[in-house]
Amino acid sequence: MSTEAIAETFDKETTTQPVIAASGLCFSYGTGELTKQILFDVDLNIMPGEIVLLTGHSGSGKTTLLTLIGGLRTLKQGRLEVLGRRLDGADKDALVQVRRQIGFIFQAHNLLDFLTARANVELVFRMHPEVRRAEVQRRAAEMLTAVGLGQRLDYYPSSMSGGQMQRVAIARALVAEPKLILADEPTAALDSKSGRDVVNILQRLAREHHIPILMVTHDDRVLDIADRIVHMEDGRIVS
Amino acid sequence: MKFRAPIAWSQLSHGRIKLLLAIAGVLFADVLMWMQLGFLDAMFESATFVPQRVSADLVMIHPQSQALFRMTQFSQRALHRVPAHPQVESIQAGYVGICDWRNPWTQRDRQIFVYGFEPFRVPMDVPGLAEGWGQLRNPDVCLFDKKSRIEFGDVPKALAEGREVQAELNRRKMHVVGLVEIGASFAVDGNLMTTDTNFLRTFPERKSGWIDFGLIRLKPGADIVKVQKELQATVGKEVSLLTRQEFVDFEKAYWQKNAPIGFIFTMGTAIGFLVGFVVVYQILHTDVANHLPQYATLKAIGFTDGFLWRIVLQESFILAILGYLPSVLFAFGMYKVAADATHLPLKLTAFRAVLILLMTVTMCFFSGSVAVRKLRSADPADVF
Ligand SMILES: Nc1ncnc2c1ncn2[C@@H]1O[C@H](COP(=O)(O)OP(=O)(O)O)[C@@H](O)[C@H]1O
Ligand SMILES: [Mg+2]
Repeated sequence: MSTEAIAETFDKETTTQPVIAASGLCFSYGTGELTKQILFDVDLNIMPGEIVLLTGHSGSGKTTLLTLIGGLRTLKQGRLEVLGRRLDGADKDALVQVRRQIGFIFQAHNLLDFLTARANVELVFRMHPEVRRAEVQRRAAEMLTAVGLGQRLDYYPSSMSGGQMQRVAIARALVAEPKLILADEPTAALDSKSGRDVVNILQRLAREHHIPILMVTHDDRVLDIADRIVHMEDGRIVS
Repeated sequence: MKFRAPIAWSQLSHGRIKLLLAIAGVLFADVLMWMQLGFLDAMFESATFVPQRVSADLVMIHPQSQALFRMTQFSQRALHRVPAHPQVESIQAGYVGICDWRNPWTQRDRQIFVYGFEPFRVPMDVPGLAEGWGQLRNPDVCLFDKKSRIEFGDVPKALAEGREVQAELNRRKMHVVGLVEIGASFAVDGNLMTTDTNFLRTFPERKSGWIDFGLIRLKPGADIVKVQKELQATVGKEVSLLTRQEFVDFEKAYWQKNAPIGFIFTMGTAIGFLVGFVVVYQILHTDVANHLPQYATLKAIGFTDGFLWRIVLQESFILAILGYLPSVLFAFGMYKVAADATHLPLKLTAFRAVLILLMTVTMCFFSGSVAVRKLRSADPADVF
C-alpha cells in the first residue's frame, strides 16, 4: 500500500467517518391508543472531535434522542450507527458494549453518596478489570485534578457544592477515555458561574483528548463553545 | 482488581444507625435461635440422659409405656423368663415413681423422681452411683442428684459440711447418704436413687413384682439384635424389648410427638429467622430504594445487573457475619445464666454454632435476594 493510500484510509477512519450517524429516526412512547410519537424522521451526523449543542423547547424530544444515541432505549424505526456499531436492532449486550465507550453526564450528577470523589471515579474501572490498581488510582486522581478537584479527592459528595459534584461526574465520565460524550443539560442545576466553569472544563478536556460531544442545553450563555448548534422543534431537527 | 467488598461495606457503613440497626436485627434473630435450639437440644439431652446410661444391652418395658415418667407397670414374671436364654448374663428389675420431697430447711414440698433398682448391681453409669451404690443396703436411704433444682434444698452443701441430711419423702423419713449426677429435665426437677426395697417402702401403693422396666445384660460378644428377636418370641407381646438405642429413641419420640415443647422451640427458631429476615430485608430494600437513581446511573454507564446484585448480596453477607459473631458471645453468657438457673444441660456445641451460622447466612441471603428485585426498577433510560 502506498503512503497516500494509508493516509487516505487513516483520513477516512479518523476524520470523515461520523461518530454518530442517524437517519430517519422515529420514536414513540406508549402502545396502542396511547402511542405518542416524539421523534419524526431525525437525521443527525456528528464528526470526530466535534462539539455539537442540541437546543429546543422543553418536550421537543432532545432527551429522547440522546437516550437512543446512548443505547439506553431500543430503537424501533430508522437507522442509527454509533461509534461504528449499528444500534437499530441491536441486542441488550451490544447496547451495553456501546454504553461502555460513552461518557455520560446527566443533569443530576448521581454520585454514590457513600463513596468519596476518588472512589466514585475509580468505580468506573470495575468495567475494565485489565487496568491495574495503581494505574486506576493515578488516572482517577489526575482526572479529578484536571477538573480542579485535586484538593478534594477524599471528600464525600455531601460535603461538596453542586458545581463540584458535577465536576466529579465529568471526571467519572472521562476517566476511562470514552470515544463520545453525551451530556443532558449538565448546567441546569448550577448557578451561572459554576455552570460556566463546568462547560469550560468539558470543552477543554474534549479538545485535549479529541472527544466529540453532543450536549443538550437550554443555557444560551454557553452556546459559544459549540462547533455547531442543532435546533429541535416538536421532534424534528430544524437546523 | 480486587476492591469489590469495600463497595458493599462502604454502602453499609455509610449510615451508622442503619448499620447498627441491621446488625441488631441479625443479632436478635441469632440470639433467639441460640436460645431456642439450645433449649430444644437440652430437652432431648436431659430427657435421654438416663436411657443413654443404663447398664443394659436390652431394656424390657410395657408396650403402653410412653416415657420414663409415664411408665406402665408389668409383672416381673416376664423378666424372669429371660435368663433361660444362654446369651443372657443377668437381669435387674427397676421401679420409677414421682412423689413429694419435703425440703428439710424450708419444709416445702416438691415433686421428685425416684428410681429403685434391685441392689446386686450398679444399674446405670452416672457419676457417683458406683461409689454410693453399696450404701443403699440400709433401710430408708437414698442417693441425691446434686443437679436437682435448688428448691429441694442445698443437699450437696450440707453433705460436704458433714451434716446429716434427712428429708421427708412421701411423708416418710429418708436419709441422703451420697450424691449422684443426673440433672433436671423438662419432666422432672430432681432425682433420687435407691433400691427396690426402699422404693416400695416409699410407695406403699405400688405392688412388689410389678416393675416399670427390666434391665437385661448379655454375655460379652452376644449378637444383641438376634437375642432381642429370640427373647421377644419367648416373652410374647405383653412386653417390649428395646436395645439401648431404641430405649433412647423411645424417650425422644415422646418429646417429639406428644409434647408441644419441641414444636414451641422449633417455632421460636423459625420466628427468629423470620424477624432477622424482615429486618435485614427492610434495611437492604430501603438502601436500594434510596439509591435507585445512582444504581440506574451505574447501569447507564455500562455496569451489568450482576454487578449491582453482587453488591447487595455482599451487603447481606456482611450483615450475617457482623450479627452472628457477637451472638456467639451472647450465647455463651446466656447459656451460663440459663444453665445455672434451670440445671438444664445447655451447651454451646460446634454443631449448633455451624448450624446457626448457616441459618444466618441463608436468612440474610434471602433478604438480599428479595431486596435485589427492587434493582429491576432502576431503569437506565430514566436517568437523563
Ligand atoms: N418515558 C416516557 N414515557 C412517555 N412519554 C415520555 C417519556 N419520556 C418523555 N416523554 C414525553 O416525550 C416528549 C419529549 O420528551 P423529552 O425527550 O424529555 O423532551 P426534552 O428533553 O426536549 O424536554 C415529552 O412530551 C414527554 O412528555
Ligand atoms: Mg430533557
